[in-house]
Amino acid sequence: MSQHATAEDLSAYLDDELAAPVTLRLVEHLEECASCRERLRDTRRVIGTLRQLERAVPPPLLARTVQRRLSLAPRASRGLLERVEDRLRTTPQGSPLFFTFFLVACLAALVYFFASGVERARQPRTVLIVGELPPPPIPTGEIEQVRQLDAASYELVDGLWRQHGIEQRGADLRVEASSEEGRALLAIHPQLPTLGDRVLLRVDEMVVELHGLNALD
Amino acid sequence: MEPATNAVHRQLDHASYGEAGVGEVGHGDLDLVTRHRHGDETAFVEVYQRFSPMVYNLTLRMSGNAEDAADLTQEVFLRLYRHLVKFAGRSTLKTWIYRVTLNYCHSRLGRKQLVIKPLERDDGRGVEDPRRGPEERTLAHDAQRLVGMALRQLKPTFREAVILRDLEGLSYAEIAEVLKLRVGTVRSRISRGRERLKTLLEKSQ
Repeated sequence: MSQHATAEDLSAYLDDELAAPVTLRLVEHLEECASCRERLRDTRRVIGTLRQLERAVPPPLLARTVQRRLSLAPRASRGLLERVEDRLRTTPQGSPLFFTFFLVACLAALVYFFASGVERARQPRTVLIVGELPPPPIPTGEIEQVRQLDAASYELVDGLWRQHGIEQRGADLRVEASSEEGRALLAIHPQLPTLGDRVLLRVDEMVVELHGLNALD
Repeated sequence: MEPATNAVHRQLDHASYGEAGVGEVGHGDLDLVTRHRHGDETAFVEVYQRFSPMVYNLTLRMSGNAEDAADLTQEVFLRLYRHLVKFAGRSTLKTWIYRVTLNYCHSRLGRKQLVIKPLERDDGRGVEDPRRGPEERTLAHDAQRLVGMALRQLKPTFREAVILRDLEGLSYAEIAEVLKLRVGTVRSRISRGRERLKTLLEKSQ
């Protein structure tokens, strides 16, 4: 070692915390370097001074104060397993065999729940996509009565007369029987008022509800 | 039959006079903790007997006065009592307690306050050794006062490393475990702390 020893090496050397090869080189260097020997002496003196410091004895009253405060102090909560273990130890059946059996039972229950959870996960699930639900199906009521008027037949379904072939429930257009359009329709189908107050019929490509038939003179 | 708590209190009364040495700790740590977990109150008495001189001396050197040290020691033991059940045995009980103590000192005293404190009436010597004569005690007192003052002027990071090494006698590996540092960093801090102390002691003479 041609360079001077570092303070860190000297300090670690005095603590016997230096690696063997470094120690060997340092010892060789110290034999020929008075300056490093002087620094080593200084460091040793500091350590010696520190180690001469008396170890203080805790004041006698400290133990009593600690015991007073401990009597009020709660302990940290303990794990479930530890508490169960304690409980089992204090019961008459608290033998190691019983505790082992209890642990095995707990593990078996855990495995069972885990396995059934996996099985459930494998089964196909119904997925509901909100906002994209199909429209509710049109109820297909039973035909209660059929009547032939003019050249068309009419069916009474759910209390409403409708021309044969119409399956939709609502009308594209609602027409008051007493209105001009209503009267024009009645001119074509003069027997409609004999069916009832409301009738669904097809006019061109539209389904028209003609209502207020009972109110006609 | 005497209640367990009374027995504990009676035993704690004598604890501070115990001869527990730092070198003795480390054996049966887990056994102690297991007993404490199972509600054996005498286990904590043993912890106090073994570690109270260590905790008190460390807090004394970190705080610089006996009053603060006593206060810090109380708080540390309350924390140990509460959290001993969580000790998992990954380190020795000794290094774990050193870590708890230092962490509490840091939080309580704060880094700034630890840097330099004015010399106080009580220089942290604790109880006088009655075996010494008056003259010897005066000389020892002076020397200790100077070293205590110099220690208080060290940066906290250097001070705790030097205290753990030179006053508590921990190895570099143990100090690294307590401070959660690499051994190389510990070596550097100890060396720099000693160098700084050397300068401070030379100035004071």
